[in-house]
Parts: sequence; C-alpha cells; structure tokens
Amino acid sequence: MSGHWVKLICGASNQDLPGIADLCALYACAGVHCVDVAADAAVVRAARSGLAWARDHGAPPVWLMVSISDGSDAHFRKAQFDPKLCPSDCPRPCARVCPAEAIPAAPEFLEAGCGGVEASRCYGCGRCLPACPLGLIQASEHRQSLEDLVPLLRALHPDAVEVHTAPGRGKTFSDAVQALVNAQVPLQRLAVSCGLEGHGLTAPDLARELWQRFGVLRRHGLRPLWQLDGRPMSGDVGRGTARAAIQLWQNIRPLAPPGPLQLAGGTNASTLDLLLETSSAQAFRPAGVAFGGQARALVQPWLQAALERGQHLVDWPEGWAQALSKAKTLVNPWLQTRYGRSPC
Amino acid sequence: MPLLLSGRGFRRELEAAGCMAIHVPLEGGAETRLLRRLRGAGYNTYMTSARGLGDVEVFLFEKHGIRPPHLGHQSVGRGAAVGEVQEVMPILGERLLGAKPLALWLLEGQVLCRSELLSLCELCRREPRLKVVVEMGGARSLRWQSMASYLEA
Repeated sequence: MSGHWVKLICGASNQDLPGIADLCALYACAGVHCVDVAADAAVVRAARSGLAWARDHGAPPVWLMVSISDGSDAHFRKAQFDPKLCPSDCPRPCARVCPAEAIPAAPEFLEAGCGGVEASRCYGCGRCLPACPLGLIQASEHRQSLEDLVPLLRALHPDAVEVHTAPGRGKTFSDAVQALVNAQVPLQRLAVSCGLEGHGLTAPDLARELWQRFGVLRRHGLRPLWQLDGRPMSGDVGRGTARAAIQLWQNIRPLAPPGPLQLAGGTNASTLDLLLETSSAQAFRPAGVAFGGQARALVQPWLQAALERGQHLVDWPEGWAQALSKAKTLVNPWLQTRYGRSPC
Repeated sequence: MPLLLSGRGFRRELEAAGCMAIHVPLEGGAETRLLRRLRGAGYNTYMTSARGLGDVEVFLFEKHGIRPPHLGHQSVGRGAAVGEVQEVMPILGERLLGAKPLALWLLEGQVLCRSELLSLCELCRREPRLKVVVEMGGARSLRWQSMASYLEA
C-alpha cells in the first residue's frame, strides 16, 4: 500500500450480476487493486468471471473482497414499496433519483409485476426514501447471521473481507471476527469500514473505537485496513461529497491505530484535487481510495447500452473501449501520483 | 563472532524456539551482525531495550500510556510531578503489518523477571510471525539457547 491503492466498490448489497461482472472486468483493466462485492455466492461468481476475463486480457491480479456487517448498516438495506399504492398521476421522483436505475418508470413495472424496486440492483443508498411524496418507500435490512458466515466464507474464499462496523458495536465486531477466523480462509487484509455520519460522534471517539477494533484484529493476527466512510454511497451526487472523507481522514490520521487509512464514501474524481488542497497533504497521504457510486455512474451509459443490446460489455468492443477510457480517468490520477513521503 | 558466517544455524534455532535467550560479548557487534543476517533472510528486525518496556505485551501490541522523561524542571502542579501521561503507538504495531516475519532484539533482558520472560515465550507462540531474542547477559563468546531451556536451568 503505497498511496496509490485503488478499490472498486460494487456495493455491499448490489446484486446486479451482469453489471457487476462488467464493472469488475472494466475496472480491473483500468488498474484497480481490489474489488469489493456483496457476500453472496452468485455475486462473487459474477465478479470472478469479470476478473478472470480481465486477467486473460492482461490485467494484473486483483483482490476480491466481500463485505459483511456486524450490525444494522445502511449498506445492507434495500428499498421497497408496493406499486399498487402509488397514485396513477405520480411524477415518480423516486425513479429519477435512483442512481442504480432500480426503479423503472411507471408503465414497465406494472407489466413486469415486480415489487416496485428491482431488488437485485438496489444497493441501499436511500435517496428514494425522502423522494416519495407520500412516504411509501421503506428500507428493509438484510444481513448475514454469524452462523451462516462460516460456511459462506468457506464457499466464497475471498482474498479480503470488509467488516462494516459502527461505534458501540465492539462486542459484535469481535464476534464477527471470531467467525471469520473460524472459517479459516487466509485473508490478505481485513478492512474495517466506519464513519462518523449518523452516529453523532467526534473523531477522538471514533479513534477510540478503531483502537478497540485494532486490539481484536491484533489478537487474531489479522492485518487491518481502515476504511474511512465519509458520506456513505454518495460519490455520484456532486463534487462536494468528497470533502467528508478527506475531512474525516485529516481528523483521524493523528489518532488512528497502525494500518493503512483508505478513503471511501462520497469519493469521486475531485477527491484527489481536494486532497492536494489540504494543508497536511504536503506531508501525509491516505494509503488509498475506494470508488463506489461514482465508478458506476461514470460507465453507466455503456452498461445500459450493453444491456439493451442484450450482450455483455466485454463482448462489445467499441462500447468497451469508450467505457474503459472513462474508467481510467477516475483511476489513473491515483495510480500515477508520486508522493514525497511515505503515505500514512 | 566471525564476520563471515551465514547465521543460518542461529536463524533455524530461533525459528524453532520462537523466543531465545542469548549471551553476547560485551564489546558488542554480535547483535547487528545477527540481525543483518536475519534481514537478509527476509525478516523485519527491530532492536530496543527491555528497560522501560513496562507491561511487555501491552507496550508491544497495544496503545499505551507513557510519562515523558524528566527534563529537569517539572511542575508539581499537575500530573503528580512526573508529567502527564502520553498515549503512544504500540511498539510493534506498524512493524507487523507487512507480510514479513519480525525479529525483535531486546537488550538488557536481565531486568525482566521470570514471568515476563514466560509471557514473551507465550507471545511468540500466539504470534508465529514474531521472534524475540533477549540478551540475558555478557559472555566471553556468543552463545544462545531457547528461552524455555534457559528458564528451566
């Protein structure tokens, strides 16, 4: 981890299989070091097929990371509503705000008969919840139980695992880590994802929580990677969303336990520029960055077009070339930066 | 100790024992030569003194408090006249993050009591990537033995 580490986040509850396979292939060819997917056998199979394709076409090996949670977490929810309750003249603002295009425009979904939100595409960003004028949209939690975790991890055999945690969940975190250790899957890293948003805490409180997590990982001989979740799942909203993660990194850097600090949550193309503007950036840099919503949003037109053509993006050379150059605009600045000092 | 030796025998015994007691010639030099050979064999190495290690496991592996050194004038108004506690990083925190094994060389190990030495052995057993060499005193020529056999004797 030398400060150029880049991860692609497909979404901890995203199950859009063709999209995931194409995204993984695309960003593996663009040079990311790790892809992060949902802990689901079908999703992992799709991601592996994408990564294998990229490998065959000259991409370096990429870690496959799966995401789990030690408690209720926004990344592990899905929106749902009953379309029969919708008024017939609704302008459907929910369909407009959905970044994953999981809520179709009115006529189609009535024919398809699906339950309002296409569950496999929804990754829980929650933007549709306040968008509905009648408040009909609900979020439902879906989470792996710790008992299922051991056989699941043995089946998935990921290179790394990410545990989403929150302040006050130290006990459940150590239970989750114990389950990971019981699964006896050799892990390159154990990423701990935590942010301040919605917890009403300060950076020193969060640092204290991270030190507790560090103690747990230390006891099991696992190597940590700290993912600082600035503004969860909002990288594609606008330039300013990148600030939260950078600010969190600045506040937590002097207090954080050993291990690479990686930005996530609201990261986008302007993250690097904003980072260079900060005062401490002359001396220190985060070890890496993870791109989620923005990575998908950049190449969404080509994914959509490939879907309409009824083929994978990898089988459509023109679309592939255009999407790849777009993906590289996001990833390359991180791969190319050279820092004066070792990153922190 | 001759300058040109592979150090392989030492490394093998260290890997087998985990924690090793060593007696070194007082003129010094043995520690840096052996550590250099361990580095050549793929180890990260770190040398520190056993003095001031406090609770050995906590100082090595966890965030812990230290009081700053007394630099002459010290206010008696706060911090019990011995300075405020500062929270510092675990000594081995960053050093165990990579994939390499780590050899820790503890100077002046004679200040450690029997239970602290036993806890070091236990630590090496729990953390297979960590090897500890403890200097237990001086000798005319370099000699070493596993900490377990040293403590039995």
